[in-house]
Amino acid sequence: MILRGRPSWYKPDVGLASRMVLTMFLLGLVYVVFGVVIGAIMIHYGVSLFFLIAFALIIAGAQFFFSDKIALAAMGARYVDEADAPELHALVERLAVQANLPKPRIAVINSSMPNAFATGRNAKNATIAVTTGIYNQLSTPELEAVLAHELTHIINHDMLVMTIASFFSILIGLLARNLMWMGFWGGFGGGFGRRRGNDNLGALIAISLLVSVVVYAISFLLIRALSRARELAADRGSALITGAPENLASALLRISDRMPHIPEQDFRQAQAVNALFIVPAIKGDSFMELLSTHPSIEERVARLEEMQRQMERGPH
Amino acid sequence: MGFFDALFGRQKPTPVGPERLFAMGTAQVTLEVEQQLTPTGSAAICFKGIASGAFSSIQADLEQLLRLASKDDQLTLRPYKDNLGYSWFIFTGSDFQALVAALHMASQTLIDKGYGSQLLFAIFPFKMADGKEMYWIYSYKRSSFYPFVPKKNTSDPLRQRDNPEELRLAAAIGKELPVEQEYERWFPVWDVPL
Repeated sequence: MILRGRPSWYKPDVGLASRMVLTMFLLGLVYVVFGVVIGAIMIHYGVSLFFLIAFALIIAGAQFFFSDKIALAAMGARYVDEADAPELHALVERLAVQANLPKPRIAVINSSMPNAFATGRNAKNATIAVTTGIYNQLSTPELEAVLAHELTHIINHDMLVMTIASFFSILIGLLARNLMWMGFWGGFGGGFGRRRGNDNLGALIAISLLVSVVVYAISFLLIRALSRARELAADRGSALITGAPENLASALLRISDRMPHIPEQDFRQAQAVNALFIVPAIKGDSFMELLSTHPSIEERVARLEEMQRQMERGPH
Repeated sequence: MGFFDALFGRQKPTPVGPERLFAMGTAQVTLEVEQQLTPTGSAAICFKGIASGAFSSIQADLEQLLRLASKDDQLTLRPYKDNLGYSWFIFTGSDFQALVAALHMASQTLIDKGYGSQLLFAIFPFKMADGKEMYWIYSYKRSSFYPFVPKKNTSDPLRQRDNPEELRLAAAIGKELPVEQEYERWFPVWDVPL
């Protein structure tokens, strides 16, 4: 039987894609509505937005171009070449071939905290950084899965997406602050020039300020939601590249300090503890999840297990 | 444990459930077909030590029951005491379903005699496609199964487990076998005498 089309686990995860699209749409909607309302008010009263937008563009541009260097410098990462870390280079190279990407540069951070990240504005200028902690704590297949997750971030242009998403957020933040200052100078209702309707200007600035703050708060939460969706997409990408979702699941469990680990202690030695039914670690603190940039380990592992089951079932 | 139990320091023995053992009987077919796991012809239950008089009488009862139940099946029973002070009943036989039934019968006998709370686990060894051994362990107190895949074997001094493989197997068989949902209860069993 000839296999036609892609195996079933390659089919897009419609749920995840819709979630991401919805988040980006809402974010865009928020910005558009805000822009229209505030822009109209501002233009009507002759307040210039030009410098503000230019300033925000410069900040976002700088962030986009330099954040990788800043991030690496902040973490104390140093680039390593093939002679310094041959196994790491071999791993990344194999994955890059599998993922059809140019091989990114590799940096190492001297820290026992397990962590890894990918940075860089596009695939040609990408860097993957790993801590010595994660390198030592994970087995080779698990490390490979984590590296594949980071490579997927590069493939998905996540840095670009998040920079664009946060650009408007920066703009609104600046606007909110500027409106506040304008309000102080103008005295919220008096003395802002002798133009007609200047009494209303103070009130309008106050309202604009309120709106800006609210919009900023909403966009903050939405950006977090977008970040979580993109993390899940990176998990999925890792599973597709390695073909082994269970490796990433195992790596996540091992490096997470909140999730209970698969134990090493023999059943018979743990029996006393077992009989007391010790309450497991905190589950589902959903409020914290709103503010988190990463989805919960439980959700990530559950999704990886679902992919696992799809792969076990076979291509169709 | 209820609030007043906690307050007054009363401890109720946790209920012990051997019924779900039979799920392994049905799941074994899937495990063999889809995961290439073949039974090794033995299985065992493990429980905390019982005074030797009572223990020998239970053993005698079990052997008699076995003889009655499995005339054609050629099941044998071997008692074993490990160096952690736990006792095992090790059953061998070529018919896997008969093994499962024997384990259930042994567990039920212990429960009927009032030793239910001493039951710790039942263990089913399987051979994987690459020749390595893995074990499905049934926890009586949790009434659920979980996989245990040692990287080399159970007498490995380094005591390493293949966690990704365990997660994979649990996900694959999850619909047919009641799998333990909380990973911190996937206790390994080292130096398995099977």
